[in-house]
Amino acid sequence: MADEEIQFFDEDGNRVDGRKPDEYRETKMEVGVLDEADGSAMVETGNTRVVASVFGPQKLHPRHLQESDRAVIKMRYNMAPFSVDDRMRPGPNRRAKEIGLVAKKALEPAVELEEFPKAGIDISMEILESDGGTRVTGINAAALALADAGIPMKGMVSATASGIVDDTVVLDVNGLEDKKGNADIPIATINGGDEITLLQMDGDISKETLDEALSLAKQGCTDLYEEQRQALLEKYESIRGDYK
Amino acid sequence: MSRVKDEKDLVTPGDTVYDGDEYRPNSGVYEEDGKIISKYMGVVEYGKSSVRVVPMSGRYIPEEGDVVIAEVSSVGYSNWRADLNSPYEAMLKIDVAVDEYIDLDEDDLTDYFDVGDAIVTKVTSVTEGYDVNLSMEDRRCRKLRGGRIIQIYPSKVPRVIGKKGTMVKQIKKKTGCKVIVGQNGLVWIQGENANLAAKAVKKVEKEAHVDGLTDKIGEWLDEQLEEGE
Amino acid sequence: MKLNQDTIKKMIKDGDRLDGRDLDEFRDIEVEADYINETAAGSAKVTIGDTQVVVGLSVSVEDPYDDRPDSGTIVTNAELAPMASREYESGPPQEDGVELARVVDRGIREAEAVDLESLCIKSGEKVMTLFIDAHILNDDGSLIDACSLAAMTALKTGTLPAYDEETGTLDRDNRERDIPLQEEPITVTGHKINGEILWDTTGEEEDAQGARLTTSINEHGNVVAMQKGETEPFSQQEVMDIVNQAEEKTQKLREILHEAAGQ
Repeated sequence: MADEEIQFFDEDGNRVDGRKPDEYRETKMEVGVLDEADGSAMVETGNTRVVASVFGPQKLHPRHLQESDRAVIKMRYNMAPFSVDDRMRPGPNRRAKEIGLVAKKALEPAVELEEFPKAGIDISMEILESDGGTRVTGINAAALALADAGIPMKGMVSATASGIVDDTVVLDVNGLEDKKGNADIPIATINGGDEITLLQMDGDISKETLDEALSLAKQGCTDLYEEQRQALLEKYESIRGDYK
Repeated sequence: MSRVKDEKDLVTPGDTVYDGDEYRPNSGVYEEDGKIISKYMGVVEYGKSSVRVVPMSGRYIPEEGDVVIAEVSSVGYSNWRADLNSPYEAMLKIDVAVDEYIDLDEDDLTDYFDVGDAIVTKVTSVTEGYDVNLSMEDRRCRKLRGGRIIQIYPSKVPRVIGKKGTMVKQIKKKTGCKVIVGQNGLVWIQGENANLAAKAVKKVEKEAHVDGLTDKIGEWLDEQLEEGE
Repeated sequence: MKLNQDTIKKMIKDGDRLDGRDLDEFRDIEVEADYINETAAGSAKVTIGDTQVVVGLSVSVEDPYDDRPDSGTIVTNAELAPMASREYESGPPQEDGVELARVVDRGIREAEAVDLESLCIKSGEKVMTLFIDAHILNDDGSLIDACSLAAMTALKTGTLPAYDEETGTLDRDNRERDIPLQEEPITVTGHKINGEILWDTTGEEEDAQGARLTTSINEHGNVVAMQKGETEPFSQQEVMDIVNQAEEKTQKLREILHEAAGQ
């Protein structure tokens, strides 16, 4: 895509996929999609689809990685080869390692690790389809998987990314907006509140714009937190409902 | 009365359960700014003066007094190690394992318990660092032979057993199977209709938060037996 | 657990299984074509009981092999994602994933299922490489059968992007033609536990198995590929018994494939 001019907004102010600047994409969440894992969830945000799994608390090997007073989280972020247009070669890569690390740091503050000394909690995010926002969608799925696994937490971590396209602050950037826009700011909060556990940014923007982007993203997180709650409750309420 | 969530309500991690002075936090919740908040996806239960959340899932953490089903994982010089389906392994020392005298130089410990053996055993102590000790001295303890072992969430064990054992007794009676429920969520089943009994146990686990479950499971079992399961 | 392993081996002598199935009975099979619809060239999700696998196809442009200037290539890969089983956490021997990929590949390749010459863009210069990537989400046995079925469904319903001469790249928005499929191999695996043959094993049953034999059969009833796995030997009679039963099993899976592909 050489020097093609991309129209990020049409005359009505709608984005490339028809959304308003402060709308996030249609999101579907399902809890308990895998049988072997202790906890699991699938989250789809627009065309981005992520499955997350949790094993634990369980024995941690090798022993020298154990912490005597808390559990240790191991996080894996992996993109399936077919998740992007140009096949992603399987195997470890630095981007995946970094995302795994920030995602772990986003979730850790919410997990009651001290309840499981010496143990390990293994979290895995598999990106099945990628169209922007894979790490934040992965975090949403991982938080659900942790709850599904019955791991005690202070609350739910929810995440989204705001971005700047054509000098406008937008919520939940898709692949195109992320690649061609001005800035991409993924954030995560606990219980849709004020504690930010993930914050990254790349772009070139003023402080005022940053503040606006943060507010928008925080609101997005609050809304996603509600969706996470519903997804968890739905799994069990539907069972009660079967008997009505 | 500031019961934000009521008895038997479903809550998610971070949900405020109670805001007030009447109830203390029990298990499954924490306190922040005077509010009692859930740590789990679970069900709210109020006691006389405390409130707790019973989680829907979660792995087994050993507690003193628990009678569990374990698998022997290794044989040592004077003890065995066993897997409790927990992050914490347990140790069974010979002095609490068998009645007879064992001569460590002459006798072979594998004659008593070998790697892979499934046993019903009791957790006698759990240290702060989660060193777990077992004993075979309780009369319920034994080596298991035949049958099959399935897994349920430890938090659902009380429901599968039922008040005064009513749920598990019903399953045993209707299917004609032997059933032993370990506190660690491992359940041993033996009998002709073991498959049906296993399905019934899993059904209780899945529907534990439904009212009047004992009757519903009884009806379901009757239906299945009629269909010639 | 060993107790369950012993019980499985004992019950099978009476033709019984833990979940009550007959020895030759398959669990519920669900196939969803086009599961990854935005990015992959073709895809499918297959569920057999609790086993869940996704296969996605990708296409790229490469130089052909010197000795086959008019031929495109297919490359098959399998990822045993750690989420699929607690055992994977300690890292499965990499050989399991490699064997899975190669067995799935062999059935497709030996049947000449894909018309490789039809993947040629310019003789001696540019050909298409078709990547078949299997991603295991949940492992409860029968991975070979599930991945093979998913791969065939993806191939049957997938499309190739058009090649843009000017830019020398693939135009993924221009789905010119179907993947050139000329044969339809179906792959099934027979397993042996305590001397008895059974089909569609669960994870627990596979822990108890002594041997397995995978057979790929095309729509003309010919055997195009085989692979024996695990350590116990098979007698020739046992091999032929499995192959004979396999023909019937592949018929059933073929019907499921056709339905999923909208035939």
